[in-house]
Amino acid sequence: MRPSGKNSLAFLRSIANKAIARAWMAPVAEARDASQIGLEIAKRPPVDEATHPHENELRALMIASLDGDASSYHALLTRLTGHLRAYYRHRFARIGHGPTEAEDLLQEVLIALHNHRHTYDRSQPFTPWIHAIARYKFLDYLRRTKSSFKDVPTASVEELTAESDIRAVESGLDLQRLMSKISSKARRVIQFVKLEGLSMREAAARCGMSESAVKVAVHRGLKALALQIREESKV
Amino acid sequence: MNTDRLIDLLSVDPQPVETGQLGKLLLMAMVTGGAVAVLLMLATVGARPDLQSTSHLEWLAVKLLFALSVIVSALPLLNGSIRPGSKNERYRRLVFLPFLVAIALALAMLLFSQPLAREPMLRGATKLSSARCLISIMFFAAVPLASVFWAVRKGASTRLKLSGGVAGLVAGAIGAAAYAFSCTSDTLPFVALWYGMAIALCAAIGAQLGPRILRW
Repeated sequence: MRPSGKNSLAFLRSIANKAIARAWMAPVAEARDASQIGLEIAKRPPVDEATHPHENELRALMIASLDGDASSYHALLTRLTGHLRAYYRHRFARIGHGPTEAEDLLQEVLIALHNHRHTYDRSQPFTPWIHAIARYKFLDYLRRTKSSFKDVPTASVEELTAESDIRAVESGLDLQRLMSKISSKARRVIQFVKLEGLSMREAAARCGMSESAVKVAVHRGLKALALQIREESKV
Repeated sequence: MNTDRLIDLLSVDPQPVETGQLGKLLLMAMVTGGAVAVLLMLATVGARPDLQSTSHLEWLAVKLLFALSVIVSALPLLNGSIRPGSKNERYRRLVFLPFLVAIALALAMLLFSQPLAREPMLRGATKLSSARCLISIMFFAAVPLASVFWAVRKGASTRLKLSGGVAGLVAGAIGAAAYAFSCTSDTLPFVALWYGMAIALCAAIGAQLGPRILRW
């Protein structure tokens, strides 16, 4: 009786320890250079290339992006845009929605990725992360537009699938109009930093704000912009 | 808007991002919510009068142990559910473990006690103990629920009902831990039944609120 009790206690303790270790020992973010990133990827068990053909490249880009590398981030977003466009056009065709709506949602996902990139755990594979977001946003879109797979006329499906997946389409969203709906402070800093390409410091000097205040304003502005895009695509 | 333009917009000067913050935030929300719950407990029902003496301390320990084990077993699932794409299926069963252990022990105690002693064990110290327990725990869980939801919203849950439910479970367990200092019903069946039910109700409320509040 006694030894089995002791064993089960040890078993429970080991479960608890493992669970706590998994949950809380997320790697601390620190600046890493490219070689470190490469090393880190090499250490991980290889991801199944057949199911995620671009996992390793995309993940390396994501990690560099999280460390603040602008060109990696640009490359990552551009490549994801291609994948996401194909993903959404395919799904939107099936519910009888056009490429413009697909492009709206794609843009919403890019902004969601941007605003929630802190939820990516560097020790985990990247493609499941972005796939979960893309899928969530698609289901959310269905919910808020009350679309369902049932009320889709079959004829229009074929019509729509004939469309190419690579060509970009202007989304129905007008940037200037969307920008006019967010606060004037956020609009100004986004105008300076994101559209005119000023550095945070230059923008801070021009707005008469501290650099950290500019960062906060840009962050909030993008959040507000994301909200506006969501509102627009509800209709 | 042209998507390429949006990409330019987003990728100019991206700030380095720390990804370890989310867990800390969650912990902070729980500690803050727990502190408020304890203060609420002291301000309303008050700590049990015999807390000074050591005679009933083991019962306080049992109740706290139950509440804390619910929290600890739910944390991996909660922490995983607010990160898109994380595999957390294996953590789901862990959540039920504290409840199963408590119920099994309670049933064993009921089984081995006198038939006449069973009903008082479930009823608690007084007739109103069970109602007091349920209402107090859910009341004390309200602030932790709000604070944990706040932390979950900082993440990106792609399963709103699951995240809401687990957040409710954790909040309920925090409420139960706060109430443990006040509760004078010192039997295991009482704790398993009424604490368990109060925490489960909090989880159900969280699961209902999740899809509405946690959307992003």
